[in-house]
Amino acid sequence: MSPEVSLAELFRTEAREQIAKLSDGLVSLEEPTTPAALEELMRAAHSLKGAARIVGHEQMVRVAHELEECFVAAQAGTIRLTAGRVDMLLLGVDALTSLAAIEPGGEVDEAVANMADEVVAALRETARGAGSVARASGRVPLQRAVASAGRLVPHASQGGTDNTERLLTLAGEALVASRGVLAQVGSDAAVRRAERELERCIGEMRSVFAGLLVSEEAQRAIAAVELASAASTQRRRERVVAIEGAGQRVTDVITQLYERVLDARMRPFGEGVAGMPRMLRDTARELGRDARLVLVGEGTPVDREVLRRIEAPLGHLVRNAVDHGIEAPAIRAAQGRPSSGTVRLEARHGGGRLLVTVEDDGRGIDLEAVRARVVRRGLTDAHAAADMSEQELFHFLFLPGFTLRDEVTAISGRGVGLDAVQTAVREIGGDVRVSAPATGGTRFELQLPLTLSVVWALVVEIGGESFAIPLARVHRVLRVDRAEIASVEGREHFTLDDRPVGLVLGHQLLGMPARDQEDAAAVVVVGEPEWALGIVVDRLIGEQELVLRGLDARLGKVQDVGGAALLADGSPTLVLDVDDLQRTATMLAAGGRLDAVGPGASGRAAARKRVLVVDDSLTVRELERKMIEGQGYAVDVAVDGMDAWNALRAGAYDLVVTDVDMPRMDGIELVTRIKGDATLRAVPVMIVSYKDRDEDRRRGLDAGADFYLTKGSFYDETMLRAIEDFIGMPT
Amino acid sequence: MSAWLDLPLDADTLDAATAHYAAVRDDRRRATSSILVFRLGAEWLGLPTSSFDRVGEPRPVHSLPHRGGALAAGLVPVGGDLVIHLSLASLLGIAAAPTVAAADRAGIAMARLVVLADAAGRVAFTADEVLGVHEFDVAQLRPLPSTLARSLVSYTSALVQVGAHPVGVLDGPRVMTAVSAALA
Repeated sequence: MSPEVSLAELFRTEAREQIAKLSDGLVSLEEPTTPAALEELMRAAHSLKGAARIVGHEQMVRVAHELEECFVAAQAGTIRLTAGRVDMLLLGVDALTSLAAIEPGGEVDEAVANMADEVVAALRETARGAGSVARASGRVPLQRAVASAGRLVPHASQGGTDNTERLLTLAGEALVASRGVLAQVGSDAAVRRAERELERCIGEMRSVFAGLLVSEEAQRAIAAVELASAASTQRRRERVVAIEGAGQRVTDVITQLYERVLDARMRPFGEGVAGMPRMLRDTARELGRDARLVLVGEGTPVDREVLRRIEAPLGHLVRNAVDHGIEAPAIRAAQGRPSSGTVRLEARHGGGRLLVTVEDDGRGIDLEAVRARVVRRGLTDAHAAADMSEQELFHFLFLPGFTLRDEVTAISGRGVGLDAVQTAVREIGGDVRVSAPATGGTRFELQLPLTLSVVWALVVEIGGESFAIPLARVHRVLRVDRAEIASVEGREHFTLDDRPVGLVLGHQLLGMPARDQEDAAAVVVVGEPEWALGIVVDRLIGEQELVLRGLDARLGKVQDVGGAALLADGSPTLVLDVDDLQRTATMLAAGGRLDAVGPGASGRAAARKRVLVVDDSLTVRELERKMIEGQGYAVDVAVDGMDAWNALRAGAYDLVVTDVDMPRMDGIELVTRIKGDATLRAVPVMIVSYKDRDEDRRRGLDAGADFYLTKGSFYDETMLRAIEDFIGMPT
Repeated sequence: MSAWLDLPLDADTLDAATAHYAAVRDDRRRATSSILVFRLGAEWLGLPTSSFDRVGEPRPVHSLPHRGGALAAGLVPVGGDLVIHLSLASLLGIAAAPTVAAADRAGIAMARLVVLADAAGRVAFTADEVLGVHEFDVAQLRPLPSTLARSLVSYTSALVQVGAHPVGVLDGPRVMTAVSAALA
């Protein structure tokens, strides 16, 4: 690395620090300003100017210099740092942030250079005591210039992220491997068996010899063999103990390494919310309020990913607190409360969770307004609304499109707020609650997982492969006797705590091959009480702590899968996405594709040949299904070509019977796709259509259909005979 | 010592040295290329060494639900990462080898996990056998015979003889692009 490069890096680090000091200092500046606070700001501007001069960053030198001049003027008492002037100074800080990203001495974009000139001129006027009000209108275009300059400047990438990720996976693998060594050492049963066998043989030899008259020489030889065997066993045991000890030490060290790497992903909470004080100030200024942010628990360690994901929801809650909570200064003063409101942002650990609260000392939520709005929106009637508790009413705040505002402002009122917050928080396995503290105001509490990278999961086997279900989503694990399974309209369920729980075969849900089922099915009940889903699994493996990894982006979203992980034995597993599973199960049931779990179901369905019937007409579909099923084949149905294509890719079929005219994907395209697919190519496709002209027939056969039948003739034996010709008898 | 160095060279040595230094250098010889030679089913194929990451023992592959199609996409652990595993044979339209072919005459498993890499990421497949890295003179490349499987033509640039096997030299980037396209 050349010294120039490291100098530039040093500068960037210092610039970041000093800019943060300037920003924080300005935001928390109280009037009247204290000499100490000004002193600190001056020092930051001065240091930044000096550093920028060393690396030759001319624009930054000029802007920092003008900022410093303003602070000097304020200290000398020539100007007062009114809110309007602080706005201008903050704009100068924004300009510094944009400029800092430019390579010192590098090419400067003309727009960026102009922006710097304008900021310098405006700051110079501010230092001379230019009125803030008169300048306010002129500030808007300047604000835009600073903001757009920020976008012109290429931002330095967040280095190190991938490296930590990589370290984590390597440390995880090392941990798994070292445990594997210990397991190997522990499982020396085979060696012990061999040793016992040797001892037994020697003993047998002895007893045989005892009945014979053997020479003293032979006696000595056998004693020597016995001795050597015992010594070998002893030595082996010592070796095992030594290796075990060494293995244990390695595992201990790697465990520590692994935990440290996990820790390295943790960042102090304050780092993630560094922009909040400024954002709060800007919002308050825009709305004519006076508010301060009090940050508590800045040092609380939070997983980097969690921090990244809660930044937007927290920003929303803080803006909300100012907009909906904190009243105008005059109103507050009239009520004898401090005219400046407080928004308290606190982070702490509790009960294995990260708890983040956003609390304001404003007017609080008007329960009667919520009640009225709920009735007006037709969500419930006035009578029911009157009986609703505070907590029940608060629930409505999280409904999409629900707002207490009649007019839409730039900040809020569009009703896209709290539901977005809730969605974002739930996505990472957290929850958000609202309450009204006795002291007044509004309090939002976010309960979040400490980390997104480690999850406790129940590992099960489905279709011969392992899958992990996050324990947080596992409602119950139990064995259900097949006799207890009831069926309603082809959908199976069993009763759990007086509620019917729908059952679905895990392998079918995931499109995996079927395994033989035992009489009692192992069932994992997942989801919320309102929509519990029982998944039949082949086998329960156990609970494990897993380090989550994302799937390769090239795979896109894999249905029903939330991520991947390595099991303790080093084999890969997939972590299931429970919400996805619920959707897939609903779709399967709607398509009439659920296989039976209950008595006599196992084996039979698997052994029968499977036919997929595709038609958008329910009547035709059901007629065909009944006819083909009547012959003893297993039949699944699909409502159009797209549905059929998905079914074909997920399961094995011996034959496809399809219509031509269908929405989304027609029969011709379906045939073309099947015949163009290396594995599906061999599956015979029969077209059954009303179209009986020769050209229609030719079009179907050209696409690759194996048989073309007109709908007039499928009521007779033709279709069934053709099916038998293609795939033989049903079993 | 110096006396020994000053000894006159005999005529034979002188001739040999002269011939060696006077020879015209065959510049074509320097245009070499190296490929990793492996077998999929009955086909011997080669991929430029620049496109592969590592070769190792076969490992357990976890299949992906709903992706049980032709590619049989799954995940395989490689050095602490989970790498996409797929059937290269299906991608190239080669008939899969019968499972017995995984063991050779001596009954030793010959299958190897081959990991490819490019800017888009890594991807692994299981080869029925890996012969090793083969370096050859590009002048030895032969054009594709018309009998080559049609599906293979689009990925193969030339043939090269390695021992007893004619090896189809695959176009690395083209294969990787097809992999990415097939995965989504």
